[in-house]
Amino acid sequence: MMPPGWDVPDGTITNDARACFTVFPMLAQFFTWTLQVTNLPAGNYTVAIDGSNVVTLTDVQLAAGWNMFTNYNGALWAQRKEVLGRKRDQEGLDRVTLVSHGGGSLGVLGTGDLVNYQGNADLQYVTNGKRGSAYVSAMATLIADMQVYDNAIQAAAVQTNHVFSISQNPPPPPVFAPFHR
Amino acid sequence: MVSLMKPGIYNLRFTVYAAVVAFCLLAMAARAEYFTNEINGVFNASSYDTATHDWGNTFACYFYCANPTRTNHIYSWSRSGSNWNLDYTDQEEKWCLPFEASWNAPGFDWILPNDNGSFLSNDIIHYGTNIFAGPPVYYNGTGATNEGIATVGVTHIPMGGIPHDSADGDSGAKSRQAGSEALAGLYVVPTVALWDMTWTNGVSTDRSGARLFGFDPGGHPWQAGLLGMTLWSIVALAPAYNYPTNFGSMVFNWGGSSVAKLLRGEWIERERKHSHGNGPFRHDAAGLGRAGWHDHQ
Repeated sequence: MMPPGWDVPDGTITNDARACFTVFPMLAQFFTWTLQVTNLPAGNYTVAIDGSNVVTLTDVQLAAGWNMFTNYNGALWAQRKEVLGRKRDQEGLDRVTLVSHGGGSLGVLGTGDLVNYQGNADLQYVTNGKRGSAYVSAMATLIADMQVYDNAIQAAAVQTNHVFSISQNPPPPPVFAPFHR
Repeated sequence: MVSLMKPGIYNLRFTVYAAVVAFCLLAMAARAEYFTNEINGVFNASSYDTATHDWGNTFACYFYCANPTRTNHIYSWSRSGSNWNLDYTDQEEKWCLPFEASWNAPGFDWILPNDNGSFLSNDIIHYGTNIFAGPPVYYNGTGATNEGIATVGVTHIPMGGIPHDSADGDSGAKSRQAGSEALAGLYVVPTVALWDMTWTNGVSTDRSGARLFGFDPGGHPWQAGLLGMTLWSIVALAPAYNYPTNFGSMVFNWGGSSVAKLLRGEWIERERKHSHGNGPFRHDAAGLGRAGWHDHQ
């Protein structure tokens, strides 16, 4: 399992939820997902996930434990972000503007999403006056469509193998005295 | 001696280490179960969950991410401008019943008392008891009716309230939260004092300062505020339902002799073969396996 994702500007996404942890700093400690490496030689270390550098920490910070909950770089964050994106797809929301599409079109997977579900509900329940089992039956196709999105969300959330690598940053180049030149 | 090694050597050693971490991620699936079934639910927060104020998907994302081995079903039934009476008369049966009838495991209805209708605590209790009767009893346009549709059950969770853009956070919102708490007591479900949690822990200061929580011209929180509402909600619900707030930890001892031994790939395989219990690195019969996921809860 992993923590949820949230909005962080990435060149496409423009909403920004990171200020949550400025307003409520205690939340960044209450939720934890920790990588801890003790007894490292003193120095600075770069933590990479699947070959992509995500953070630089000191040996002291790594010994204390790095809480990845608020990290928004790398493959694991991309996975968290994609879960949220697909959930928004299910509701018919544009991932950037968060505005829903019109009722005349289907969702991004080519099947009905929440916009279509609610539109069909209005048609069957209000216009056609269906109730009880007749109404539930009339909504069955849209329920199945919504479950297609649930499957897609689950596929994004399912645990996959990620490779962490931690490497010590090179020390600064030596400074030679003038007579060594 | 470690101190004599060049940075490139560290990289090599840590690359081997990385393989261990990767194994630990796989082991994560075998950790103690927080969820014993799929999470199903419907979510209603009126305009705090519609259009650009997308609270419900952030809330749902917690469950989809924390319970990834199952297919969860969480859907919004929020309608902008709707109060709890209109939710009951116009939306609940129409939007919730087909979802609730489709679930294979009992679900939830997370519902936020909102400011539409300017309701106060007694209104929330009154209309809340109407909404909470379904399933099986919903308002069908004529009266409260049991349409005879089988469901596996829904637990309604009133979500307290949220502060508004006023110096005291809005006495009306506080009153609605009081109604929400009374409802929670009536239905024996966890109390979600969202107004208190957000106002006391940050919004009271933020509102007169940086205003990062909100509010847009309609008085709605920004995305930062909506994320905060999600996380505080989970904080409130976690004890009753064993929802995880610690998603796991990986702990390694670089200074241990196991590191050098782990440089030889056979030890990794050996650990896997010897493993049992909660994960491949729990077993330490050979003095190895110091890395592993630890459940802090």
